[in-house]
Amino acid sequence: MLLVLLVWELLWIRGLPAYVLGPVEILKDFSIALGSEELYSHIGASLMRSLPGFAIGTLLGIAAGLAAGIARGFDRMLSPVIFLTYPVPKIVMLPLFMLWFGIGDFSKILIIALACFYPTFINAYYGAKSTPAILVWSGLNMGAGRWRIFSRVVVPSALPLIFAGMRVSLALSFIVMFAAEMINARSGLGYLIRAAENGLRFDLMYVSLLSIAILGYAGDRLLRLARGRALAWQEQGA
Amino acid sequence: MKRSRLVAFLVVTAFSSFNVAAQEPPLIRFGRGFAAEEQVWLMSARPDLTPNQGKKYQLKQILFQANPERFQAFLAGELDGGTAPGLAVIFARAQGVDMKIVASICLEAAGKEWFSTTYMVKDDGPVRSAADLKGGTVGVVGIKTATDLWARAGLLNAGVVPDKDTKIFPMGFPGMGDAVRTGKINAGTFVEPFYSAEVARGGLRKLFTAVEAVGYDHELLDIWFGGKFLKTQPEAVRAFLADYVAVTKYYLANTAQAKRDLHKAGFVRTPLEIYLKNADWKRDPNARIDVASLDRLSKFMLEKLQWLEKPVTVGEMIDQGYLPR
Amino acid sequence: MRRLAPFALIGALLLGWEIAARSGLWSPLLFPSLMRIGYEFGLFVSRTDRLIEAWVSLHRALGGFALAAVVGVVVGMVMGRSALVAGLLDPLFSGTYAVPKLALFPIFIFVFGIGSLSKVALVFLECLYPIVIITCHGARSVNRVLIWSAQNTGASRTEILRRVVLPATAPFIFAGFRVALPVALIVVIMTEMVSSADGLGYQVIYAMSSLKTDRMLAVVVAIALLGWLLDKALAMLRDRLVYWEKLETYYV
Repeated sequence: MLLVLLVWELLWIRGLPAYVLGPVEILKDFSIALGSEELYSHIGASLMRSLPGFAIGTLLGIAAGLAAGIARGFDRMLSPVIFLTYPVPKIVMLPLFMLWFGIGDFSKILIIALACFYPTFINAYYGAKSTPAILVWSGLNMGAGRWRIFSRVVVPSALPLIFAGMRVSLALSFIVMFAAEMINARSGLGYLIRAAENGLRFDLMYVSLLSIAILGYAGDRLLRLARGRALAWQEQGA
Repeated sequence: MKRSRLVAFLVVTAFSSFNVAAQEPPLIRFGRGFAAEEQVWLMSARPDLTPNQGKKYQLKQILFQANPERFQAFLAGELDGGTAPGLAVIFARAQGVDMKIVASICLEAAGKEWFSTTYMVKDDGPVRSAADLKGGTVGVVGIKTATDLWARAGLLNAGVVPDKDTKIFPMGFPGMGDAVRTGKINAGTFVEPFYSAEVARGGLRKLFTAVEAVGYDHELLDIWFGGKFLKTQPEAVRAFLADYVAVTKYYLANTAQAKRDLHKAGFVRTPLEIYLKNADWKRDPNARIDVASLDRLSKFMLEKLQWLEKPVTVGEMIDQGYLPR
Repeated sequence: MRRLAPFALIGALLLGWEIAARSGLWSPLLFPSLMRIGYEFGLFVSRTDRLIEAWVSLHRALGGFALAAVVGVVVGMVMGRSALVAGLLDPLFSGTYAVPKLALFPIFIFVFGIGSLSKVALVFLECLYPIVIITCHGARSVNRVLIWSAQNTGASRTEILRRVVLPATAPFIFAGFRVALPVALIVVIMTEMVSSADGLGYQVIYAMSSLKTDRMLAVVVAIALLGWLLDKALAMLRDRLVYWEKLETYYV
């Protein structure tokens, strides 16, 4: 990783086209931007959209996925719809959502929620389905009620997959947020990068890029931390 | 005893809330754009020029990059009225949107004193005339906007088929100059104040203007209101337009001062010296609409561009009855 | 009755939509009826210039995907079998995994222009990750016994690679493909919605700007159909090439 950065910086010193900035240059611009208030307001605006969207989509996805994993009737009804619409880029619904829910943040939050729903649903679904039957039987044998089996057996055994799904959803939430802001917004990192692109402000472009990279990376790390604590009894492979 | 007290309480509250509502002047949520709408912006920059504002209506201006968003916001119920190219309103009406044109802002007119939206290319580039745009890209502000129409008209005049021979690429005004210079697009749309700023920077050459492309003077920007709002708040609209005409007259008589005020209020970003020297579009002091030109544009949209599926009666889409006599 | 269950939800949703659309509560611009959408869809697939737009999007997606497939499989296999390469590249991939590569798109536009190339480049980048990661995982987990037996019978390194490692990794490779293909389509549509003058994503924006909500939804249906067809095509291809193991589930 460090090697790549070194090579990049050397190339920059040698001379690169105007639209590619060297790492040191980018860091310089970034620290300037950190000092100004503008960057924080954009970051705030972006997070105000992606986090609620992520939360809503993931929670619904987990709930629906687990439900479909254990209840066959629900499964038969819901799963085909989900798997059918999976390859559709959810962002195409953005213009329609904006028409229905206004051009403000609400429509964007909904789109992000919609996109985040899928990975968590699919993973929770498979997670619930792959609960080792023997554990369920032992539970039933010991007289545990259905709800107890669900919360004490199914959910914990599905957790690893659920976390994997959440990881994908988190990355997805940033992508969809960024795309929605690039298409149509007045604030936020996606808007910033487009405004910078229009004004040939390459410094701002890279600042926006670095900001979202940091956000994505930090979010992922946080999630990994949470997973580590929640799955303390499991060894990690991935 | 208690029940009658409750009823009395409710009646009084209801009555007082009615009173309050009656005293609050209706709010006009107005969608504005980036360029050429000086009189409208002045209404917010210099409220002292608008005697009715705050009394008969309140004004909230919301900025939009391009037209399609404005209409979508209107459909989503977020706007009561706004600015738009007259031809775009015709187009929207033809699609079933309930809106009417009530006043004129400015026109594209031929002549040295007036500015007309200009399409420019790189000075040292290979494009010498519109015919050379074959296989290239033209930047416009939005799909189905006036800039889109003029670009297509200019291309058709040179025998080039839009979309097939030349791509039409939507992007914002601020980025046009650099997009042309860096070769992202071959030709871009330029309006004041961006036009003068780009000319001052140099490196761009004029290809054709909007008036040349269409061939006759025509309405550029107009004020529209939603049909429902016109029915429920006609007095607010009348008061708004009365102020608007007054501000228009002020603007035409004191252009330099007005421009300074607009610049100070942040409506225009171009450096002040360049902005002051800009040529301006033609504006009618009474905000009267040139209906005939809109009629011709609608026929053009129908026959040459296939934007309309059937002919429209332009007269139905315009209502000048709200303007002061 | 059981067989109809999957269609129950879809059917109910569609019926609900149609009732709402026809109720007159909302303007047809806000809530187009299914018949209008179907009509526009019919128009869409019957006009050549519209189908060309679909082809533009498709060939961008497939181009980027194919490139990512070739490079990704090679890199993934090498990473899987060589600890040195893995040590070099692994931190690179896992570090940048969570970064939305879409943010690079404006830079790509400057590098590659506003045409297809910038979009293909982004598709390539986005598809690379799942393919590399999953292929690497698969190459690593090739059963040692198989390799030892091959070595025992005197196979050379290349032969082992070609006839043992590759087929053993094949299911994983295709799993990676199955994840990457929808990504390719999604990225193409996204980039076309953000900045383009052609393609299906552009058609969505175009229809919306022309206030033709029915046409916009027809394009969405077309995109969905395309995604579904691509997935089925891939599944068929996989079943022919990896004929010794049937596909059951796929892992996201």
